Amino acid sequence: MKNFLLIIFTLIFLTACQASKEAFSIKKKDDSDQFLVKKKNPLVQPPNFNELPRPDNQTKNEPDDEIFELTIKSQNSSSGNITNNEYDSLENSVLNKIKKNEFN
Amino acid sequence: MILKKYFNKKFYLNSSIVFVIFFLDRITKKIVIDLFQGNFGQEIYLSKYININLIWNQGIAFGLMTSNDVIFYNILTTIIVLITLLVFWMMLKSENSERYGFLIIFAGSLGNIYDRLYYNAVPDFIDLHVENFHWFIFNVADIFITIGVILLIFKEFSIKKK
Repeated sequence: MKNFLLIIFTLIFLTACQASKEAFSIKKKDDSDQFLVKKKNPLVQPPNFNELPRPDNQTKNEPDDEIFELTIKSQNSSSGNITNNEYDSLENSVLNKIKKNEFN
Repeated sequence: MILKKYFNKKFYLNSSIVFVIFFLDRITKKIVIDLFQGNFGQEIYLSKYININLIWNQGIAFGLMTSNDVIFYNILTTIIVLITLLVFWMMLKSENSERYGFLIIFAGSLGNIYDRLYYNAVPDFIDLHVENFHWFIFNVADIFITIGVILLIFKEFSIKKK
């Protein structure tokens, strides 16, 4: 009996057969290392968070908007037929606005 | 005179058996590994019941004790080497058919140990199957180890009967 057990023990350790199922199945490699993963710091409010400027409710009219309004007005008033004088005045007003913005 | 005592006819016969089994195992493994390098790991069809399929076993029989851990693999290899040495010692102690049983096991085991040291795994490639039922994939060294074990089991039973 002793010899028989020794023989079986020898068979199990010395042979190197493998189940075909294990061989064909795709094994997931355990590559992840928990100690290599860097933990993210908890989210913190920036310093002087309360002192940051808040956006104003009253917004000033932008110069572009004014130009747009002017063009619309002039178009409505002339109803499609723009005379040379009106065209010149509109052009001048636009140029003036641009100049003002440049100096500002 | 002392050398003549050890290097007798039996010694040469036993050595040649070990050498033939080891060489047969090595040559088949080498052929299959070379074949699979050109075959991109595809299964090779031989007959309805035998396919050639190369897989690498880092564990022991039936794919047991397979691990990616290097230390565990080295410990396992050391145990296998020790068992092989034990088989060699028993071979020297035994006689007749029992000796040949141990001799065949020893030769087969040498083949697998060589792969464990050279490739860090044992290549298995003989895939016996009947339709979808696959037997464990094995190699030539496994065949000889199994033959040796069967021989020893028969010897054990015959001793008990007497």
